[in-house]
Amino acid sequence: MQTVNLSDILQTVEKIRMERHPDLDAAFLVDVVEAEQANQEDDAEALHAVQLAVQKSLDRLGGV
Amino acid sequence: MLNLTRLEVEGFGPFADLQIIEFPTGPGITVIYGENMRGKTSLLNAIRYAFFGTVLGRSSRVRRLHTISNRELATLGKFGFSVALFFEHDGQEYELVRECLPRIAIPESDADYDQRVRLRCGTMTLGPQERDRILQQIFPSEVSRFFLFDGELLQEYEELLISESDSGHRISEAVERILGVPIIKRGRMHLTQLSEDADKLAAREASKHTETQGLGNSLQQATEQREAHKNELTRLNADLQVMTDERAEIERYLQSVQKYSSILNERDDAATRVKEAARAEIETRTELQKVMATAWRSLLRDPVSAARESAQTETEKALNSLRMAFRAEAASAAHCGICEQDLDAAAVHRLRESVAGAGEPSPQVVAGIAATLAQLGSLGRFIATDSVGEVRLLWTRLQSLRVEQVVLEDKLKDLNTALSDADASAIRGSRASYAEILEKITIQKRAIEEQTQKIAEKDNSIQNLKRRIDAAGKSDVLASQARARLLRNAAEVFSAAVERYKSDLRKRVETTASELFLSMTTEKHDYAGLTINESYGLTIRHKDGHPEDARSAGAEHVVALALMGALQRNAPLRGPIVMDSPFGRLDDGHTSNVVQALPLMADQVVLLVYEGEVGRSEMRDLLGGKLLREYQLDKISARRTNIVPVR
Repeated sequence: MQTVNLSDILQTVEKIRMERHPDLDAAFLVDVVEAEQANQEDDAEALHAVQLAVQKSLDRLGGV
Repeated sequence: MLNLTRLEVEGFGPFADLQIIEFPTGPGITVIYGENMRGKTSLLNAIRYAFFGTVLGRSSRVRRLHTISNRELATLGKFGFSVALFFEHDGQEYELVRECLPRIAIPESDADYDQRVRLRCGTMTLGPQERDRILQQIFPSEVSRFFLFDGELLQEYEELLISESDSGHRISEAVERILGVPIIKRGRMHLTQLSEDADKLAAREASKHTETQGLGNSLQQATEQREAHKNELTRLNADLQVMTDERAEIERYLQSVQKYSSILNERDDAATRVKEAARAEIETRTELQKVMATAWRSLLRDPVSAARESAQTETEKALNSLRMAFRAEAASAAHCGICEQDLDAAAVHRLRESVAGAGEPSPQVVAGIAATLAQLGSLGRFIATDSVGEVRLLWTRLQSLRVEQVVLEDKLKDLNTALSDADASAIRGSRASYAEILEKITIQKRAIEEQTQKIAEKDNSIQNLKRRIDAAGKSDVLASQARARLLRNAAEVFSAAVERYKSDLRKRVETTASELFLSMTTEKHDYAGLTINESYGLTIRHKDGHPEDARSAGAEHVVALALMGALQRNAPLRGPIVMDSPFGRLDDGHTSNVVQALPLMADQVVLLVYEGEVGRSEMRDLLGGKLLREYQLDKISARRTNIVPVR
């Protein structure tokens, strides 16, 4: 019964990104949603996954 | 998507021997018919037990496992039970077995049992940690209320209309959980946390450079202060939660002793009135004593009055005799001995005429004049009072106060008997604690507002400092600032997304619930649909646009079922609905409509039903091809039921 359909959540996040921070890396936000979905019962794992997503995004932006 | 495929129960409630239910694959309804006391609720509980290890009784109270063992087997010395649940989840087969086995020959409490759980995923049996993690993912206990429920649980959804209700808040949280809101909330929380860490790092980087050292130090200081405020806010919120839980607990306790509580009120009132009556009796008695001190005068009033009249008469008579004697003496001596004047012949004649016929004055009467006058004087000094009325009034009041006390004491005895099972001091203590906790919560909320304000102020000054550091343009500082900015902006997006997603969800749930409600209600021509509130409470909307404030129990029931269906259809979490006797408050028309709407609520529905609610032929007519399988619960004895396939 776990979350299998994240499209509504992703759509909402993307809409807000476009409205407020169009320059923000859209793929990063998708990574965060997926990290949270995959680690709903584990804070430490979720934080770790989000940190990895941050580095991935920064690397995409030119290895800042 | 979770689908149940098979249930095996043994020794559980009325199911003494191994009983099996095979759930058909594919979307549709499985109906299990059973009279009262045959084990419908036990089947619902067996599924609950398999997933969560708990069994619920009335008012969702957790039942002791010791009481679940089949009672017929228990009389034979066989205790314990087992439930095996087979299911599919996202194409993977699982077997979940939970057993409750006695440690000793004659167990007496839950402590005398061991519980064993086994989860097989495909061909592999999972370890305890992985098992619990997978089970929590597949079927979180927090949302079980939307999948396993009975008519009683449906009633709780009315609480969602009461915004301040604690249970409404809990249900509302569970609704959000099933709808996936926590995913974004947790995203916001983690991004915010990482954003703050990145701010600290950026501040440290900035303080390493001479140009930005001052700003960096200020930024470090500001972030530390913000963190301190946030920690304080966390502490305050945690304390508030403890207080709110305490309030909910007291409310639950006071609710459970509501009957005793009103009796206690009545008893306290009676006790106060007894004391007041006793005090009034003392006051009345004192007043009566005072009045009685002079009441004897009332008794002597008539005799004294008669004596006074008699003495008056005697005195007048004596004075008259004396006057005659003086006149006779003056006429005889032609001289008045009082004024020492000689009398002429005419005066003498007049005096003789005035005493003619009068006898000689009695020497005793003349001699008694002084005593008669003295008696008259004494009687004249007597103060006549009439306090009879006052005495009567006080006496009547005294009697009435005594009667009142006897009646109240009698009542007190009855009330004390009624309260013999209750802990009066605990009830009083809880009332006092309730008032105290309400006050504490108000103070705590004020402190939270203040702390939130301080955090917002610190946020502003942090943003200012960051802008100034950015302007300095140091590369390593810029790198850490870029990280902080990415996280901060993402946190902002997630923060706004939480509200937007919830708002969109509410709209979708409202639309779906309205469709379901209109398909289930028998008042389709009057109602336009349902309106959802912030807490996911649903109000019936009339076609004239007004809400239906006064809803019948049946209407509440239909609304709750509509909410269940709407949540299922809008949630990322999908699974079977198992309903135990959900038609209790519905008339025939609504029952038929709800049965027909069941396939719309979830792909897999297991309906436990008493045939008085819906008969078999009616069920088949209403569900048609959606009715996949039927079972019946056959009574073998009062303590033994078998599950038999019908078709």
